[in-house]
Amino acid sequence: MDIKQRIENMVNQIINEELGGNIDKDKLHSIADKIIGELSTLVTPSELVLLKMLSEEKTNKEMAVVSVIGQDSVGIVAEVTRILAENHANIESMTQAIVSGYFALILTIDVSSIKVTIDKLQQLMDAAADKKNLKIYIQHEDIFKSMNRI
Amino acid sequence: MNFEVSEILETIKMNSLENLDVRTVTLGISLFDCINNSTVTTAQNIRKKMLKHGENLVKVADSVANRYGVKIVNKRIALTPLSLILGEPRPIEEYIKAAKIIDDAGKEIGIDFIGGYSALIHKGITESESAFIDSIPYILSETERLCSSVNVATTKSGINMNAVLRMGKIIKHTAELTSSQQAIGCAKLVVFANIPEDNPFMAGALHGTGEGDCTLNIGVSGPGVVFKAVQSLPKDADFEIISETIKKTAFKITRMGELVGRNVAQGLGVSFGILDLSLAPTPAIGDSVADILEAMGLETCGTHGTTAALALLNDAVKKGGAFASSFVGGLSGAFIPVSEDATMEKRAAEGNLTFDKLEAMTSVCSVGLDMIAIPGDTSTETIAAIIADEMSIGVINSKTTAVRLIPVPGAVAGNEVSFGGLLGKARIIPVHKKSAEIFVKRGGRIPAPIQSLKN
Repeated sequence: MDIKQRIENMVNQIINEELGGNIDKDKLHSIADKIIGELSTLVTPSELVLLKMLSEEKTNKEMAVVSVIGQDSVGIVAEVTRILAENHANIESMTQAIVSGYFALILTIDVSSIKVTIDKLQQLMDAAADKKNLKIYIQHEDIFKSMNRI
Repeated sequence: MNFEVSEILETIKMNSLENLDVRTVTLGISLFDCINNSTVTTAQNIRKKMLKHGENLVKVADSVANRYGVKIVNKRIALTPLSLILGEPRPIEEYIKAAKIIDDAGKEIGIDFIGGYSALIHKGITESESAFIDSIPYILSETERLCSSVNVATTKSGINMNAVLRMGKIIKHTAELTSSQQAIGCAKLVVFANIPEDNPFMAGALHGTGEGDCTLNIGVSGPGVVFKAVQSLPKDADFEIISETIKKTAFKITRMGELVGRNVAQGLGVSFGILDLSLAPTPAIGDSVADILEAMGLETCGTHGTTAALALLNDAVKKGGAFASSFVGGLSGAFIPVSEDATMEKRAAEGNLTFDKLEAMTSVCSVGLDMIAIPGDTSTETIAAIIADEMSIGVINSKTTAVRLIPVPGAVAGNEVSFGGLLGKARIIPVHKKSAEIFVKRGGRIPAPIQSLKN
């Protein structure tokens, strides 16, 4: 039995004993994840890596990459993040680089609970990109996974 | 998963600047359950089946394309060879009536081409097939989307020279019937040796008799991406480096295609068939196979060394692509369609790329003498002899070869003709004037070569 499974069973058992009845499965996963996050001082580094991998495997997140490319100007980040926030796309990571004189902003976003379709989000980004003379691409992360990872 | 900025930008650059795209998603549909004594009823059954399986093809393909930020250029349908479906010999008008119903179904679905007005006559021709083949020129002139392919040779059975001569006549007739549009009908007609049953590319796509009910096949492209990769190498990079660079690039292109293909198949609820990893050029600047050969160090595509360069390219594309896809099939090699490749067309117009060199190149790549405009007064027998040459390359080398020639009525060597869109433009290339009439009229079959005896 893997470590995460052991923790989940343990939490389930405690809740059963203390409160009676079983806990909702999603809630159980989330509690287990939080405990795993706090375990860094309690387990060996190799066990921690294993836990982290298991935790990522079971995530419900669906990631997409937003690439903003063009000439640098004031307010690009503000505009892009505003659109993402308004549509409930959570930003997981953000990298900025200057490549061959061009500004490149790469955001990884979780699109599992966005309010609109990716197509619509792309349209909103296109409108913003036109105003600032940029190109903005939203692509599901699988395209990068398939082309760059074996 | 974290990606390097360079990885993300490389993918975007390939898609946006280097013409990387999925050239076609082609839905193969079996028609054996559509057969009826009446051709019109059969055609209506085919229409129903095309709509049942294909009505969401464009919608699903566009949605997958948007999801990954990848272009899918064409959405197409390939059918069971219609010569097997339309049954006993019919008057030409009946074939036309049926073809128009099928063509209109393609329009309803929103696809650009339908493959499968096809016959397999590599060993013999039945009466039904004979009548069907006579209808091909009429179908190609009176419908927009239907494409025709005829297999006249296989490594296992040899070359049916009666069929070869017959196809010389059919090509000429098609040119005459579409003479007002510079013989465009001939761009929708291919003569094959060793025709694949799962090729997604037109005009030769069909749904083979060994296939299931409905399958999605995919054809990737990307000469522009390979060109940029080869161009970026130093001039003294050796062949190992060139080969490795092409392999890595082909791997990425193919993985992208596989991802898109599987998602479109899943969206349509059909099985994923094969990925065809051909490098298919378009007339767009920077999307040329000839550019890759020149980037390797040839002053012009067509000069000495071209065949070796193409062989290296073709082999490296296959090696890189084969690892990236679970099921590789179709034609899978570099295409050299003259009118569809801007640089190849330019070199042919300059006289640097000759007909004979093109023939030599077809022995080391897929597919064959493709989209070559020849003088309108080229005789039926000369066209048949050209087909025979090309078929023999395929038969002897156990590979697919094909001929798609356009003898433009009234045009002479040096004239320019334009077909529009992906078909591009071409200068008329001269062909040899000495006759092969006695040879091609001997009749019968050229026997299967000794290398076919493998059992």
